[in-house]
This record gives sequence, C-alpha cells and structure tokens, in this order.
Amino acid sequence: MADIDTAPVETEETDTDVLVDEDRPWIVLVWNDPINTMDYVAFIFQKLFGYSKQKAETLMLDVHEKGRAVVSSGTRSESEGNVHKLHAHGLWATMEQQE
Amino acid sequence: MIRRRSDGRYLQGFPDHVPQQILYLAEQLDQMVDSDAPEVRRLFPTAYANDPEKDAGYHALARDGLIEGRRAAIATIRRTAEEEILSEDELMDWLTVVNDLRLVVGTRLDVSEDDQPEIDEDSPDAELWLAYYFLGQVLHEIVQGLSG
Repeated sequence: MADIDTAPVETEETDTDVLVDEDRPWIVLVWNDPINTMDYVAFIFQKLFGYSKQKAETLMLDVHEKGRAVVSSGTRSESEGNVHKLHAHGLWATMEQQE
Repeated sequence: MIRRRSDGRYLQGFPDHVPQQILYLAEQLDQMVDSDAPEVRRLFPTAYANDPEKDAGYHALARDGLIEGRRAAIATIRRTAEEEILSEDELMDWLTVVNDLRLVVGTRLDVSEDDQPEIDEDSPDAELWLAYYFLGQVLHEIVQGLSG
C-alpha cells in the first residue's frame, strides 16, 4: 500500500513543480552597449512600452550606469515578443526567468 | 531639421545629400542583412543568454521576421528619400535604418564607450568613421524630431 500511495503523490508533486516553474514570471533585460545612444534608447523605451519620459530616462540611465535594467516582466510569450521588438530596434535585450 | 506639423506628419529639412547618403548606405545593408557577416550579427542578439537551446528556438522563429522588418524599413527609405513630408511610421523607418547602419558601422569599427577619436584622414577607416559620425548626427535629429 505504501508504494502505491507514494507513486501518485510523487507524480502530482512533479506536475506541480513544472506548473510553478512555468508560472514564474520572465523578465526582459536591456544591456549597455557602446554604440546605441542614450537619447535613442530612452526614446525606444517610451515608444515600445508607452513609458513616461521620466521612467524611460531612469531605465536608460540604469542601463548606462549599472550595465543593465529590467524593462518588463510577464509570461514567456509576452517577454519573447518584447525581446523581438527590442531586437528589431537594435537594442541588446535578453530574457530570463525570475529566481 | 525635423519638425512635427499640426497634421501629425513630419517635415524633414535635411539637405538633399543626407537622405541620398542614407539610401546609399541602406542599399548596402539590404545586400548583407541576411548574411553571416560578423558586423551584421549585432542586429540579431542573443535572447536567452543562459539557455542556448531556447535561444536557437527563438532565432529560428525570429530571424526571418527581423530581416523582413529591416528590409521593409529600407524599402521606405527607397520610396521616401526625396519626400519632405513623412508620416510618423515612415520617420520611424528612417530611424530604424539609420540606427541599424550605425550599429553595423560601429561594430565594424569596434567602437568602445568612450571612443570619440579625431578622424585621421590617412587611416583606412577614415571613411567609416565619417559615416559613423554622420549617422550619429542624423539619428540625433530624428530622435529629437520624434520626441518634440
């Protein structure tokens, strides 16, 4: 009995782990690069994400001074869409799942 | 150089040689944008820095769209290089092409954050540096125009 009880429980736990893992939000990061200009990067943040000028400039300065900034978070699919748009505009964007 | 009109379109007041120079460079980009040239790889960055398998999947799906989008923007330059009045979408395409060109030229020159060298006319890279500065000025004007 013990064996029979244990097996389904383990399966459920594994399923839950997978679900929780998939549910953890993804973040999109933009990295500093030596070519893109500061005013261009801030403008693209406003244009793509509808951020205010102030928020866009704060993010741009984070990229410039700290080397990177998180510009959005969401599902994997939303994040891939955002990375694609950033790549289409020449920004150095990556995505990763939040810890 | 670029002014937003009351009808929401934009007046570009660049001297004629400026859009012609952008078009000249854009046609070269059109030829190489789907190539594997090292300086063009900068236009297709890694998406999943920690997961090469997912990154390959992303690029398999995204690459064609990124090439197509860039070629569509170049086509806008071809169509509007002699126009003085541009829609916002057309001006965004100008911005995309100018920035892409600057990325490619900057990558070829291997520029670093603090690079603002005086151009040495005898250097084999002199022409590229001229193009890089030219593109930087045009980019700035377009961003100012679109932000204004």
